[in-house]
Amino acid sequence: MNARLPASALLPSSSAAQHSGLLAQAITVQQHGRTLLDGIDLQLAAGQVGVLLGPNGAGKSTLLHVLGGLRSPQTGQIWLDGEALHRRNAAALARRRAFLPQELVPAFDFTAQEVVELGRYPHRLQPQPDEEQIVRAALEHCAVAHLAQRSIRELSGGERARVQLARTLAQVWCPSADGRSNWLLLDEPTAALDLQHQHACLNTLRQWSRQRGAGVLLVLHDLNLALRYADCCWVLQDGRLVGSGAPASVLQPELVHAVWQVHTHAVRDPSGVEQLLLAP
Amino acid sequence: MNTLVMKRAGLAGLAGLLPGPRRGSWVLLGLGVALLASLIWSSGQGAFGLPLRELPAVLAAAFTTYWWPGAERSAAELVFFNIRLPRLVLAVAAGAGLGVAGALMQGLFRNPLADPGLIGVSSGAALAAAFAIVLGSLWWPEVPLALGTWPLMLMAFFGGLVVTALIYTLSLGDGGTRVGIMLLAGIAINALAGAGIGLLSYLATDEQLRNLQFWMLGSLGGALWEAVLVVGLIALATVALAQRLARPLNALALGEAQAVMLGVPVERLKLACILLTALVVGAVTATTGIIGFIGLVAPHIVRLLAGPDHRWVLPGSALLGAVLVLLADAWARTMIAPAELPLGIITALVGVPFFLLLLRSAHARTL
Repeated sequence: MNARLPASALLPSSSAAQHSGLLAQAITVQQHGRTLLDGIDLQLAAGQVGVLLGPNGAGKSTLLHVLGGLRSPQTGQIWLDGEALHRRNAAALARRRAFLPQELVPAFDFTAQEVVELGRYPHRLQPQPDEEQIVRAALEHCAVAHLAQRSIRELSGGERARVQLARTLAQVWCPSADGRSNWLLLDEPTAALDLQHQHACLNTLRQWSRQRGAGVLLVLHDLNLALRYADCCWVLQDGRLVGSGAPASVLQPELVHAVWQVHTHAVRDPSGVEQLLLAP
Repeated sequence: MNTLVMKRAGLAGLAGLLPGPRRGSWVLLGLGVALLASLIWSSGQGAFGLPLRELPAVLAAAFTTYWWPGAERSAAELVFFNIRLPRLVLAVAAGAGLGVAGALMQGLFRNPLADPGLIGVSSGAALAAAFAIVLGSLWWPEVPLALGTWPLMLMAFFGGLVVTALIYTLSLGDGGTRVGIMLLAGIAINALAGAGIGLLSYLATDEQLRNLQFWMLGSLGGALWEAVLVVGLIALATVALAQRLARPLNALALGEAQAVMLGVPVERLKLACILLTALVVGAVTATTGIIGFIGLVAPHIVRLLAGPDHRWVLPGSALLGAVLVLLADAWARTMIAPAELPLGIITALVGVPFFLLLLRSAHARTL
């Protein structure tokens, strides 16, 4: 498990350059005089599933956007596999890193298949021999193959979310040519999904990280999903990190009460996975 | 049921004939044939009627006398080569230019209601050109400022550029451009341009006044070969260059952030769209005046036929725009022959109901 990194052990910049995985140091974001993120450190290895947790407005989405390079922090730095993030290398990064935003409806009446095909855009100059096959496989992977010819605007919120997930998977479907790992950053991919598809989605993502060595970082609200599927998690509150490490050790009832103001107790399901039950 | 595909193909009436992935190329082929047909048909229409069966002979004669200028020319040949043919070429260039400009704007604004006429790009170009016509003759009497000359095109280009950039900046919101602001800003710019041209008409001489009036309503009547060739080349270049923006514009439909994450150089893409639109709208407006609604109607119909992929929408809108302007202009010059209706009146008569229908459609509900 990816244990919490004590502040004293923070890597100096020189060795950060050789570090593989996603590494963020001392990220601070301010907007209109408010501090949205305050000195966040985070490290996620490829092949692992990391989850950002926290109440509404804690800064999870902001952090994900910063880590994706969509927003630059006031202070702090981010490396992806030893390479500092810039907007300049966005085109090269797009071939091995995909980002799923919260809610996304394209401007025009694209079919679900056309939306997934857009995920292959970064590879248009070096296409795979089986581009069409990749799109079909991504659609099947997210159980939306039967919706392929439907307009994305006519789908339900959950179906749309699965199509967008298929698009992000299609974007990083093949291993990178230079052997570096692929990355998936997802902002609440399960928010619009029903129970069945929430688990299918997280199963897919975990398989993805295990079998293909991809790094997966996602924002979740359901602590039990995090406990079941994540390798490590970070709990944010008011822009500050209040816990990080293996979910089972971080998500203790005391911390959950301190952050979310709900009483819980921990139980184990038959397979030994810890889950939290709401206590009245 | 496959409602979207049925909707798309149903309009074509060719549901069984058009296989899915190839639909775009079939639509382009059909539009190409339609363009050819309307070129042939409208070449016979006008105050000087020309029966279709005489067309090949006149065409052949017109070109042979062009290469062998000593030869005798008949009236039909003279009319055809000096008046009809440049007008047809200008119709194709203006229609193609406005059609592709509309498709580019809609892609850039991520919004099917953007149109160079509606949001004021055309009238911004016309105001700048009118300014040059009226005041230019005072300040730079030696510069030629007839319709379709390069100083006018340059002025119209800058007018269009300023308006496009201004409206884009104004309407940019968090998740895209805000349609309401875009259309309201367009109203303001159109009003300003109308007032400006009205003011200039007080200062204008009689000849300038005729030019200004012509400007507000649009007409292909002033087509001369020199101007026509320049506009034609600019329209051709724009259609060709726009094709390179097709896939990036598809990615931009997902939103700016997603386009960045897909590796699209978003800032460069936006700049290219704005420059190309201003260039082609400026050149067309400097030669023909304001022809509205082509940039709105053409991309929308192509999207219904071929789907929203810009690889088909951009060239398809150019072809359909050319067809629409050819037909509208044939109508304009025959309806009250030997007099002519201004072209802008006809495109507005067709375009306004279309626009109102579009406002009621599903697209507009997300405003």
